[in-house]
Amino acid sequence: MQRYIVRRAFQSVLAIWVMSLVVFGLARVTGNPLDVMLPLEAGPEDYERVSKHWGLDKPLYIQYLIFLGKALQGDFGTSWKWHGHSAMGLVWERLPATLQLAGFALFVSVVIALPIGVLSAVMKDTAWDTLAKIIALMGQSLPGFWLGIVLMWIFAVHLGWFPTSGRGGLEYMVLPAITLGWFQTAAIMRLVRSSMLEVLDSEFVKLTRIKGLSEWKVVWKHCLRNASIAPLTFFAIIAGVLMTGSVVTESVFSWPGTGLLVVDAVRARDFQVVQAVVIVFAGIFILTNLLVDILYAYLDPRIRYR
Amino acid sequence: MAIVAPPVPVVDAYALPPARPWYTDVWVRMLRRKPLGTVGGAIVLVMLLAAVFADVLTPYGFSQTSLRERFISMNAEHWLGTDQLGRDVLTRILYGARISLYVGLGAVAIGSLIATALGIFSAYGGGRADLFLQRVVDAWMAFPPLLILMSIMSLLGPSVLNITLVLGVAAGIRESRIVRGVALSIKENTYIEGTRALGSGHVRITLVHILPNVLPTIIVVATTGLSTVILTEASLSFLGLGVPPPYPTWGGMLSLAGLDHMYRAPWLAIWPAVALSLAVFGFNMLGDALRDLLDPRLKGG
Repeated sequence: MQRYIVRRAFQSVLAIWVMSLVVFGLARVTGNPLDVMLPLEAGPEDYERVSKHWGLDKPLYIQYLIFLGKALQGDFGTSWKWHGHSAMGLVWERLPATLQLAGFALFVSVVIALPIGVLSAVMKDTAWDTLAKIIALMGQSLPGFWLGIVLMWIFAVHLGWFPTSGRGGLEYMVLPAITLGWFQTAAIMRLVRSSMLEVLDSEFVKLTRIKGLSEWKVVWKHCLRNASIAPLTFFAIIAGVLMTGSVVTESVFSWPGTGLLVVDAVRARDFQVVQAVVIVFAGIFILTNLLVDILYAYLDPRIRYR
Repeated sequence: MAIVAPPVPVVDAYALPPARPWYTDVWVRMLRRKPLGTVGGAIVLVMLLAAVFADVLTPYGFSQTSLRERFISMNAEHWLGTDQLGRDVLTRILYGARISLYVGLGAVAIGSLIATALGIFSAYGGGRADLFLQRVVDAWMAFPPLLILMSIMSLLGPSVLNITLVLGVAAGIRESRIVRGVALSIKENTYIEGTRALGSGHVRITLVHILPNVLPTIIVVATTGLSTVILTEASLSFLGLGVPPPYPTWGGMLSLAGLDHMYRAPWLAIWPAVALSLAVFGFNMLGDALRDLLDPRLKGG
């Protein structure tokens, strides 16, 4: 178990390191950053002065080491668009809003998906099961931003039940959370269904029935507990989908989180902020993967010896 | 005591129905056994026709503006209405299919090439090269995909060629993992060992013996990948980082017209979205059916 954790942790560190290379490369390979920073009429001595100031006259690997050293301290430079703010500071400022929305979206999708998934496994091949299948299919074909626009149009513009955009109380969160959680709802539903089907077929479930337990207890206590191991691994993927989805969802609903921040930063070509967001998002993603893998290895001993 | 071999039944080869090659057989079996896949295939076919014959199907140009005819709702002349510049929405959706397919097919072609080359090389080469390549793939998959694509696109600048290249490379790296898995299992077959004993070189083994067996998997992965690529292109265009404005794209139509004029002209948001969802749904269904028919091993993945 310990060896497995060490090996997995090493892989994660490696992934974060490769990511730093990509982030550094992204800003360098596409041309001289000085061309963007300096006005057109700048002479060669201006170039020299500014390039000395930013350390751009040093060899590339030295530049990378400096970048890495600063990045390790959480320093990604200052933003060009939002003057006087550090890139990392902006990300930290916006992160709570994103996490709040993602958490709520996850909660909503689990609350919806779990019972539907269980019921469609119990009532396999009935009309209910088909309906659930259609909902799941739609969840994977509809683009998130479309759902956001339609929800906004019906519930905010026409019916006026919820505000169209911004961040505030719970009512501000409902539409963005449904939009963000839509895809996971479909995926969790399918996953719960297939693992429930597997468990419902096993010997110990027959035993619980022979013991004379009520159907309710058999399904919701004994089966669900065993069936929930498999969907657990999916949570690492969900973390990625939620963060990717937050970019689109937040820009539809003007939710002031990191997703909206990165869209604004990309549009303004503010690469310090983009770098910081990419690092933070990928860091969260890699960390979730690591935690889920360790938790999974703990729950299912077969994984450790692969 | 001699071991007596069981009698071999004599089969009259001429009595069997003529064997169809697998690429024809797939379509016949799909029509018979996969109704959803057939529906998906039909949607894809309609989209293909719309993309090819867009010029013939509509009397308007995709960027033909008419300021007197702004925000007209659906009528006989403009079946799906007009947008904020008086452009015909149906026309733009038809041309949008062309761009979507252009980017989608281009990216999937690039992606399949990369996935095949990387996957087979990694599986066949094995050893350190395999270990190194797989760690790189791991690291790539650790990125939230849309975010990294956004940053790359903003650096390269939005253009049809750029988005095709970027989406293709991204898909190729992701899909190489699947190709590698299949190639690994094919590599272990005795006929590979046999052909090596007969003196085949590495190039011959990979191209003549491994590649044809990986091909069904690649087709399946490419078809399902197409819907992902189209959806990602739409998301990027929606954010203004995909295909640049003069070209009509479904994602771009949603963002430019849909959000700003939702109160006044809701059809501007609805129709491109319907087209997009239908296309994604069609490719998903077709891909699922192809997977079941060509490569059942990938099921449930």
